[in-house]
Amino acid sequence: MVSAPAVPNPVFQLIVSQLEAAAMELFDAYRIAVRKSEVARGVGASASEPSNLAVVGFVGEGIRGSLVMVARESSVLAWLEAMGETSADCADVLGEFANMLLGRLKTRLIPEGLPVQISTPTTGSGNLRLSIPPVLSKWLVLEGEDWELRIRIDTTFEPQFALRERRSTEAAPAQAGEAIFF
Amino acid sequence: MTTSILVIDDSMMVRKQVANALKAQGYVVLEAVDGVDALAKLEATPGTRLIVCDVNMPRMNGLEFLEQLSARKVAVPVVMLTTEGQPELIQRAKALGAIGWLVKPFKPELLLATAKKLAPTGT
Repeated sequence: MVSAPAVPNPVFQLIVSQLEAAAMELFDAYRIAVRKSEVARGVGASASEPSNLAVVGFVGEGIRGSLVMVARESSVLAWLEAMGETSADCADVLGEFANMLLGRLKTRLIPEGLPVQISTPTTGSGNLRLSIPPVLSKWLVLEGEDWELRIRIDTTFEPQFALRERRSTEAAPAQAGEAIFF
Repeated sequence: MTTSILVIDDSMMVRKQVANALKAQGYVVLEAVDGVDALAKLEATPGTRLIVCDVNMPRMNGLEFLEQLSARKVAVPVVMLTTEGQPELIQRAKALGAIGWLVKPFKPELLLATAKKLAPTGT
């Protein structure tokens, strides 16, 4: 049975801080100007414009959760324009960004003693209303000149969760943009 | 003579980005959405010179696809292109016969250099 988090918030705070850093790094990699925002202001959105949603799950020893991304179509189109792309399926783009963000977060968590496995993204679109579930949860809002992205990380810690001790002989994870040939 | 490269990724955005980079250099690009689709495309299109393959995909992931290639004795070089950087996964891909591992977002010039080395155009 899963109970209230047995591990104090510092581990969740670590995940959130690494998520924020990974998100900024991801947009920088695509040369999309980004800043953190304290509130979701509905940048560039009309009331009737549908939102796109992408969810990627993760699981480790004694920990599980999900990453949720929500962005209006106009926001995704603004990224695509910045990337020099002319057209794309917005839900697919959001799904890939969620996949890349959680992949980067995973890479950052390995040296912290928190290895996790990640699922493939699930995407959808429509007029979405998201409630905060009874787990550790945090919203992060990023914005650019004409776009806004809401990212939520939900995490459940099981009683047996503990950070893994890192052995000095372990190889470091490969970083974004890196190429390894065998 | 055209040189074919198979790109396997469940994201249309990634397939398009990789395909655009390769097509601009004269490659013929085939696309597959997962390992199952890729096996069917390989069977239907002999002569593929290089495979660029994601890891996390539905139905059949990239590592399972490598196992299938090995079981079928398909000798086309495979470069993994993924968000994953976990050393254990990289070692597993190497053991299963992959020849390289690129972490997304990829640098097009790196991908093209790899393609030119492993599958020169016009050969």
